[in-house]
Amino acid sequence: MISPDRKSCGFNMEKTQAAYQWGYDLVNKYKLVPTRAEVQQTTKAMFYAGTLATFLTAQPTCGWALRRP
Amino acid sequence: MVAGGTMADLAFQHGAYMLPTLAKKGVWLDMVPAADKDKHDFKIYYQWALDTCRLGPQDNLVAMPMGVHFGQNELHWNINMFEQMGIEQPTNKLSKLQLTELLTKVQAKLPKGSFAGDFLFGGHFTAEAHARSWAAM
Repeated sequence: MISPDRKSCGFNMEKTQAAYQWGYDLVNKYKLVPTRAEVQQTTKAMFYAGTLATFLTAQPTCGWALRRP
Repeated sequence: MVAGGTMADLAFQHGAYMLPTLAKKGVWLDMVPAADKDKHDFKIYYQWALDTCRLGPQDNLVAMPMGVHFGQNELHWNINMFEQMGIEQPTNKLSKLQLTELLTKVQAKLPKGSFAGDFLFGGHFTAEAHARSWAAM
């Protein structure tokens, strides 16, 4: 996503845009993912309550937004 | 805290939910005047990181970026639910299309108000930032 020289990122890459489009479609086109208005408390709470079959989470690997951290 | 009028001066948050939602309501102060007053050098930030924090009513800068999430993602699923539905469980070999088809099968068997997935991308690919609320005025 971020170039080795840390001067550019890949948000405008075709594959990145396709991935985001997929995420958008899951909510708005396929109706497989709740909108924010449809989320009951949190999606994690929905998962534990049995009203959400799957959920995605991430390892909080972080990078600095600063050029000189 | 915002609704109760007891908002803190400074808030640390992710850029997916609270920051943009409250930014459009004018909760967060424009960061530029305070930064200019302290002669803060905006060049220390990646431009794209700054741009993710331009979420105010006029796209003004409402937070200072600190970090970004680019970690790997994990898909969790309710094994019992899949077994009861008689639907195969996801694997790490699925394409986006195959996963979409699988979730569609699940959704077809769920009652209204339940959902097959949670892929609110903004919650996972996002910036961490610091914002100042109106309480700091």
